[in-house]
Amino acid sequence: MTLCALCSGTINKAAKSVEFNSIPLGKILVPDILVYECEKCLDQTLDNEQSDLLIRKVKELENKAFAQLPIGEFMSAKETYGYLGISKQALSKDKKIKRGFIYSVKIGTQSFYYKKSVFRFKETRDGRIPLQETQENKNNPKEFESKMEEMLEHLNAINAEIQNTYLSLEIDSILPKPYNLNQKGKLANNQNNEKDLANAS
Amino acid sequence: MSDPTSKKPSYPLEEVQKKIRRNEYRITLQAINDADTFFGWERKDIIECLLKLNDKYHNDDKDNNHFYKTDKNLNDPPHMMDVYRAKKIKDDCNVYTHLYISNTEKIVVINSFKKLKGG
Repeated sequence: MTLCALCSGTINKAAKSVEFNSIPLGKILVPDILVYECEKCLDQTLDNEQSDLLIRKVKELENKAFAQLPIGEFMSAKETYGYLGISKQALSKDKKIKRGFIYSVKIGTQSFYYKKSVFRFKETRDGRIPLQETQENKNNPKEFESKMEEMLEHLNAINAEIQNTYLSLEIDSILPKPYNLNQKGKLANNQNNEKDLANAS
Repeated sequence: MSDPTSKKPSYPLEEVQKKIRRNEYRITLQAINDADTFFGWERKDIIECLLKLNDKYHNDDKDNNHFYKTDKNLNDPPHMMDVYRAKKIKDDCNVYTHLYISNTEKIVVINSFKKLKGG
């Protein structure tokens, strides 16, 4: 029998569901974790293997929830680093982003980033928001729309810079077109296709 | 046992770190949860941090020294707990943690692991 060093209560070791406070999901129960629990002070401790297992299970549940969000609420890596004003390399190497400070899903080899999380990350360097909060935006979409407008403005500013570069190089026949929101609320800029390029040459 | 005003930890840090390297430790569920919430860190990040701690008195040099105080809990007999405050110890994060060596199991128990207030 092992006694708790803090209260002298008996410590029992048992597999059970433990409560974890996840930022995206709120309070969740994670099943089958081997816990040392004091009968008296209810202190719960985990060894190294179970600590890793717990976090692995929490991340699995969180990733599952991200995968269930509508794909229209995500943006591509290019849109994300453009909006954040950082390079492609910075996006993939940022320690916080790597740790999940921007929610993302992977489809094939490409990562897509949750728009609301990207917006929050730009403001606070922490894009981990409760998913429930993001559902409220559906009922009150004004804030979401203003963010999208802000992003459009940003992307079009980049576009203008590219246009100037093209003009200075006298290759105005393949100028990028401005970004706008299509009917589904997705970003689009109807870039010149291969046919346009062929005509240009 | 040391008194709470001591500038030295109750549990020699060298011994604590030796036990951690030998996997003779447990972490409270709350500390694991807080490390995730505050820093997005997992167990290995907590351990990396603890192995970087020093036992120099924090108030002598708040930017570089980590040992803050040793404190006793309210139980009878009281059990000592060492408190560390470490600035920019990993990924520029400021950490507040307390731990003890269990007198019953002789393992290190990482009792708390949070973001240092104001940091």
